[in-house]
Amino acid sequence: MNPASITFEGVTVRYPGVQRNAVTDISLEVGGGELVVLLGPSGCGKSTLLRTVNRLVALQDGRVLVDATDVAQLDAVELRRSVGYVIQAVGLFANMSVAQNIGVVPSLLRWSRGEIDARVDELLRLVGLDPAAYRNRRPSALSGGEAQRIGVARAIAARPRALLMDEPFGAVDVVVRTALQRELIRIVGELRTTTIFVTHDVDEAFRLADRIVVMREGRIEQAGAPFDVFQAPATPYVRQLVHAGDDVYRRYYMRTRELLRTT
Amino acid sequence: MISRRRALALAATAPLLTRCVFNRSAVRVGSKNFTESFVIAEIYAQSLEAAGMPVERLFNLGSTQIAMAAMRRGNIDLYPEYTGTALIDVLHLPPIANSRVAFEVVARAFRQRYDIIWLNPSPMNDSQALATTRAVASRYGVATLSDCARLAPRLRLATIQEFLARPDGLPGLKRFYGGFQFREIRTYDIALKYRALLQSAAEVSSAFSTDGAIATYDLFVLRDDRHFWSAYNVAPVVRARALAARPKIADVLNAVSPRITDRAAQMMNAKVEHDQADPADVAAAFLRQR
Repeated sequence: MNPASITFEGVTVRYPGVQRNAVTDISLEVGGGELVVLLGPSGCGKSTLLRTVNRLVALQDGRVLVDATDVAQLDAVELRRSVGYVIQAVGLFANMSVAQNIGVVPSLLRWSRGEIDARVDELLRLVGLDPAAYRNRRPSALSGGEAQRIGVARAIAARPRALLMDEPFGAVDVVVRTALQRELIRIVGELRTTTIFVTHDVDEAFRLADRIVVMREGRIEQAGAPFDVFQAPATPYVRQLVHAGDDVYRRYYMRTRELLRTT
Repeated sequence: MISRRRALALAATAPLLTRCVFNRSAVRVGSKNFTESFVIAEIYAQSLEAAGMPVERLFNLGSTQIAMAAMRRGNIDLYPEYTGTALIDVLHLPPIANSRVAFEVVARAFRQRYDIIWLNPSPMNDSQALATTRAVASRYGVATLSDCARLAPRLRLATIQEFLARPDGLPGLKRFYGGFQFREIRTYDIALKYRALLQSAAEVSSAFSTDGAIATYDLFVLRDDRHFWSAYNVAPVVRARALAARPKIADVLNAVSPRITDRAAQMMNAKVEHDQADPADVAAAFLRQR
């Protein structure tokens, strides 16, 4: 299946009982197969914007299109099955095995038992875990990093057309995080799944992104290729956030970005 | 007799007081939030500890602005800073390519404006570079950028797109050194440029002087003999007051700084960024070798 494009058109969200908009008049196109990182401090609206795609929040104004279809026209359940979603608290079902967790959406979609089993093994290998060792484990027997890998496997099990990730690696230590970032780059590269990734970590944004979208107070400050943002920050806020002008940071970002892709 | 209430109040403040006293006697070492800064700050911290000074680590300060604010408020006593960063980002002066001149300018300005002392800089210079293999260097007799400028018509360059566009990339090199008309230039999307060198698909590649890959692949960095690229030597910057209280800090750090070379930084960056080693362990291993 071709990777989906995701288009935000004048998207505005205001939560009930809150004076200020969570996001205001955001327009953004995410191309098929692109990995876009929404970067900004907590409360900048990045998670809210992400959650408009699978309709976890309602729009005040504007629309969100997956390919040419307004998500408001789609059945919410169907939509969420076709768009993978990974959050920091992985939310694996404790009473199910790893295999059953990964197979949740495929079995809802009534894949055959054989198809699901094959898919589970394929995905465990894809996220770097040995199927024989992990297939029958309970979530309680997983480390934080392993659980996060299973979360990613579950999100892409039914071959979603897009992947939404909300600070997915925020709760694991730096070694595991780097390993997961490396896996994500490889997986998204192989599957060419359109991905929107939310983080407040500038370093992570520079490692992962095809394009960085810097957000602040519900609006987009700047969107661009990582080193274009670094080289030509659009606002003083962006300049300070990415340490633009300090070549030591540029070299560090470039080197770590490169390392994730070469080894 | 002390009232019950008074005794309680005293008991409550006691741990706080000891903590304050402890903090005041410890040397507070800061770092910015990237590998090289962590490792070098650890080298400073462990050197001071080895000389009998208690150290408090306030690492991961986030940015130059935050580190400098912490210095000026007296929240930290010292941290590793780069001459180029200080010059451009703190003092807002134009870049300087000569390491010695850059150091003198920032050292003077920091002392006068901020009451902050630059101890001796390390030879390590985190900068733009051109790299080649040792085999190519000896076959073509290329050791400096001047050599490379002259011999370029016989050499192929592997690089990344931005090196061809940046004023401190190839266009700047051509203007400054002349020559640099490479036989062939190939750009690599995700910087497989070093692999191109190793597979003999190119003789020269753009690089950063403290990249771990340079040590890992035992590459040869061409010397910027006429000083084109801005200098980014690292040095401990110390609050003058903290230094006056503990003059020994200067002796200890001035003894270790000469050992922090490009090669040492490459190896330490490789261990942390590639092998995922802990910066504190990497610093300890560095200090153990003699």
